[in-house]
Amino acid sequence: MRAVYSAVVMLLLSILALANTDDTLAPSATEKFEVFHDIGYNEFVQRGELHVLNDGTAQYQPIGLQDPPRLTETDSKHPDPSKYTVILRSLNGGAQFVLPVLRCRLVDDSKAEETFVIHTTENGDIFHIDYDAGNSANCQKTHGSVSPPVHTKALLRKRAVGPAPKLNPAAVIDMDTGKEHQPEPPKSFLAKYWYYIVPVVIMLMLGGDDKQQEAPAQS
Amino acid sequence: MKLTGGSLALAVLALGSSLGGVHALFPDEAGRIDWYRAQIGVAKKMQAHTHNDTAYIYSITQRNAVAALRADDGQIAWRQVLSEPVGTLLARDDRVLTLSSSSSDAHVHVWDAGSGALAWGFSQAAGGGARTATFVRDSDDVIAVLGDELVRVAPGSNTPAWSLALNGTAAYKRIVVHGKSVFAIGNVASTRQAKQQLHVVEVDTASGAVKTQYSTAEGVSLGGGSLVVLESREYGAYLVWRESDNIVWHIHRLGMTSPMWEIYHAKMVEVALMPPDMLTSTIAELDTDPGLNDATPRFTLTYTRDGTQKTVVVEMYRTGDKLEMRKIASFTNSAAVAAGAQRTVAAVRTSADGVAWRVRGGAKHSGDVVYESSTYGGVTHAALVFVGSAPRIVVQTRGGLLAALAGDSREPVWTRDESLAHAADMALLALPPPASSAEHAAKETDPSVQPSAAIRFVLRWVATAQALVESVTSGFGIGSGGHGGEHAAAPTEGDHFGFRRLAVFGSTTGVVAAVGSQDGAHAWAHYLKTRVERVFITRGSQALSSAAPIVVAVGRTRNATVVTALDALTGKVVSRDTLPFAYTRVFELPASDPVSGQRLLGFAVAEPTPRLAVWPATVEAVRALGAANVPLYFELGDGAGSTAVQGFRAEIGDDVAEPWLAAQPAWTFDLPAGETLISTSRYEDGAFHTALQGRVLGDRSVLYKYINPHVGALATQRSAGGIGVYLIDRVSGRLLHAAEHAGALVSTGHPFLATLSENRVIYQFWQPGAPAGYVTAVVELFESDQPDTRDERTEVSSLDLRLPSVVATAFVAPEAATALGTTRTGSSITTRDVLFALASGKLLALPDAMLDPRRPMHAPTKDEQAEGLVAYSAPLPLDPRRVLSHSHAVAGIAHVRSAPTHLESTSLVAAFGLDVFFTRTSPSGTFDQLSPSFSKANLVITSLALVAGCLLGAPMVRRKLTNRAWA
Repeated sequence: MRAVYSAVVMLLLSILALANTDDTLAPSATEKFEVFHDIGYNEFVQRGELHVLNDGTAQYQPIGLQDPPRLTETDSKHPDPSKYTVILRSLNGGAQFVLPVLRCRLVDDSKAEETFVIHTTENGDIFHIDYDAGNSANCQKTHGSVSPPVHTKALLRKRAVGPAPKLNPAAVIDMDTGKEHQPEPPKSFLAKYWYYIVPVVIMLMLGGDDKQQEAPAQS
Repeated sequence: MKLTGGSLALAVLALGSSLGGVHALFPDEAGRIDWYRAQIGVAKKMQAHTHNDTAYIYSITQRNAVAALRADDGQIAWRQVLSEPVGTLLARDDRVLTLSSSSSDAHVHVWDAGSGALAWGFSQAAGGGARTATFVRDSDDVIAVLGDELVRVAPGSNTPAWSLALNGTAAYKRIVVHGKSVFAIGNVASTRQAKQQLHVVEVDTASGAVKTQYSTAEGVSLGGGSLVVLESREYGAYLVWRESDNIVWHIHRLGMTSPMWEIYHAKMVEVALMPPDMLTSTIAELDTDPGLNDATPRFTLTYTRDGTQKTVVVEMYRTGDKLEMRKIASFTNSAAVAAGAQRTVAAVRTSADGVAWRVRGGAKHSGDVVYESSTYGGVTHAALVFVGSAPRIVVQTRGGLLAALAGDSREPVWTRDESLAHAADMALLALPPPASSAEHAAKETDPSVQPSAAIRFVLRWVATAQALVESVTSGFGIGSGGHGGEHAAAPTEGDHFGFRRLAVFGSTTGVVAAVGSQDGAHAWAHYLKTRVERVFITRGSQALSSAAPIVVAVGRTRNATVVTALDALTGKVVSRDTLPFAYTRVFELPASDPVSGQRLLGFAVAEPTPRLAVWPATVEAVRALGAANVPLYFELGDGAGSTAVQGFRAEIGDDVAEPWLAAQPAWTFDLPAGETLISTSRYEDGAFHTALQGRVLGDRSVLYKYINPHVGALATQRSAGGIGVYLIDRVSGRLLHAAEHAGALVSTGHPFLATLSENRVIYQFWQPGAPAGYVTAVVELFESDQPDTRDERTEVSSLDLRLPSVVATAFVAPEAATALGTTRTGSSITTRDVLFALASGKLLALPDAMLDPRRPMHAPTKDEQAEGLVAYSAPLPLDPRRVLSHSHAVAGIAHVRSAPTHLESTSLVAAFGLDVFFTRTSPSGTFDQLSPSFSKANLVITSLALVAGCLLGAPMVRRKLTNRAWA
């Protein structure tokens, strides 16, 4: 009998351990983008990678500044020169996103921050990306050079399931009496599960007897 | 205290002033604050018919209404509004037959001629739509062409008595029942081998068996102006036509193929007719109701000579076996001809300043009525009816006026302005303030015109006296509403509360019409000949200013935009510009024209290159816009069916040479794959204003509202089923919120509706399945989901990233809605009502709190109670006390508009579509008005008693003071 208990306990512990292992697995990327910035006019230099993770978040990872990859002229598509443009190129063959902001927002802003907001469908498909960098207040400045953003945030927003009316359960009318069928009154925990609990208690009680019987035998 | 004569006079003066200076509502106005006008729309076909000794004008209209108007007063005897176009109308005996069809189904309806109750109906799937229908003689049965089938239907039967599949190559548009035969006549389109011709199928009326079928009348078609169908109970049914290059008429007796036709020369009817006239002549059926004159059917021959159009009414008869025709009347330059009973026929001629009518064929009658065709356009249809023995001609004009002409009167017997049933837009004009207010304005603006205090006093009393006289003569109906009386005096002056305004409607019939907002009194109308899509008040009323207020109507032709400016008080055209582009959207710009002082209008134009055209189309106007220094953004591609919306920024260069601004792309919002746009919604003018920046919660913390006037709501149809709803910023193109409703269904019968106000978006859609119902979703935007957390920036720009926190919930709508709206007040302090125009004709106003997405799912806690929240309940109640339209069934509401008044508590509300309904409402109660129980009489009596007390007490006080001095 004791052997059976030990086996059951081990099994439960194993399941628990496995469950904990799953939780601690690192999230994987469902989509990766190379992030190219329009550092010079129409010169796109990669500054980092944007990872969309399967845990509902997104991460930005900067890359080294030593000889970073650049976009060819064909890929950059001659963007509007009045805009500071960022291009996200999918590493998985997905869509390319061209994200412009007014260039003046980054004028003489050494602490400029940029934010990517990635919008996905309920299936995780990316359908829109918003980009923000710098500050509108910088556009008041008449002179100055454009400073690329130095801090990056990435937000992932999943399309919400639209609200639905929360209806009360439908009333059931008894065909014989014509009266509304009343739901059964809620039962207590013991009343609901007594047939599971009673055998366990009996088994525990019987198990306790074995211990008591074995103890005098050893002494 | 010594009460002198001077102080007594001052007291009386003050008392008198109070009588005229109280600004509040009084009990005599209660229950008289709204008006309603039932409409039917512009008639497609009219038929005069007498039922139970009452003459009616039955009509089917462009607004899918079937209606019976009483010929004596023009009132609607009954009306049925169908959901699909109605194509056939036939009144006979005590029944009215209509045939209507949607894209997939055809419906036969037979109505009781007196009450409009549905006697019986029959529906059948019909891919080609319904074509035509008629009664079977001496029977209640109906024979109809539904799709490609000819069917005979008996009253109350769900299945046809018989049905016959017709030749699919012909479009059968006419049925003639004669004797034991039914003739279905259809157009056969021309091919390389054969010309256009008619195909005739003769069917046994009883069994539906084909007796014979053949082709005839080569080169002509039904409805082409060269062929008429004549039905004579005695002589049979005939086709009469003229081939395009021939001057003779061919006459074919239906069912007789040998000989196929006889020849008849029109000169035997009209001697003056010459061959060139005949070649350009047209013929048209006159007795479209075969029951009216089925012995000797008539038709018209119209030709033009020397610039004069002549219409000859021809009657067919037989002498022995010989078919004959004769002229029974002729008219010159007639706009419409109508057949009447007893061989009478009437014609109507329109000139620039009048309508002349003539009745011939029996006793001669004629008359001339003063009518300016510039108001509602020329006459298109006419019907002749006899009220007693006096003829009455009911005419329908192109713009939408329905008028009855009779007798010697130079005025119409009655008129109905049906252009309002086609209103596409409405603007409310604040009228010039009353004289006393104008004095105050004069004092503030121009002291040189300030009258003396004595003159102001006299003026105020005169105005009060005039109001009193008006009140007495109108039965104490100050500001009375009612049933939209068209002939009441139109307002020319506003009131203290801002209730009295001029509602200017622009209609798709091309008419701009103004009515009083308090009683529907007709002010003016002008026919613009092009469909009007938007109206704007570009210059308002100004106190003591000679500059007239201006209303601008924007219409369109195929490739041009027509902008007409009218004097908003008289309807006279001030200017008319045809702009060489087709616009996608028009809106007011934040600047005024330096020359005319009018608000500038901007037209978003997509072709040939995106740009913002400015009206007035002058360089000065563009420079004034540049001086305003306001960034201008607009969108293109936001129409139904689009898959991407693109935003543009209009650029004002230093060197302005053209009356338009070049536009640079600012952003593009590509819809997710498989989704197409079905609807775009924005804030109505001023709807985003709020007096409260946040919501005070029960624990006294504040949840700050996300207020952004540039929020737009896009609704999309997903190819996989369901809809998507996207809230975007229309300046930056950023997506603020996205939601999907997987089970939703949007179609013509179940449209998507949305309204935006403050930080809230409310939308409604149809949710099929179990349980099915109309869902009203509410999305509320906050700056943060944490109380007392807000954006600390002093200047907020749409270009800066601001993502709202969203709270959303959904309710079950009480009924299908046709339009949504919200009330508006001057300072947005008063809580709003959400307005639902229901398909049943009710205008329901639900309080804002009922649609609060923060309503708890449980019994509210103390904090929630303090916040004013009530427990969530999915069904929105259809509380009769909240139905603004009370007993009126306002049919076909397509637009709900609200405007503030001078009272913060009160909003004006207008609902229009087919019918028109105006009212005013106070969502939070009339907190800034005297209660209905307030008695002015008691105030006067109390004041008089006080004065009397002073007068009586003065000697006693004097005596007491004297005694005290001697003591």
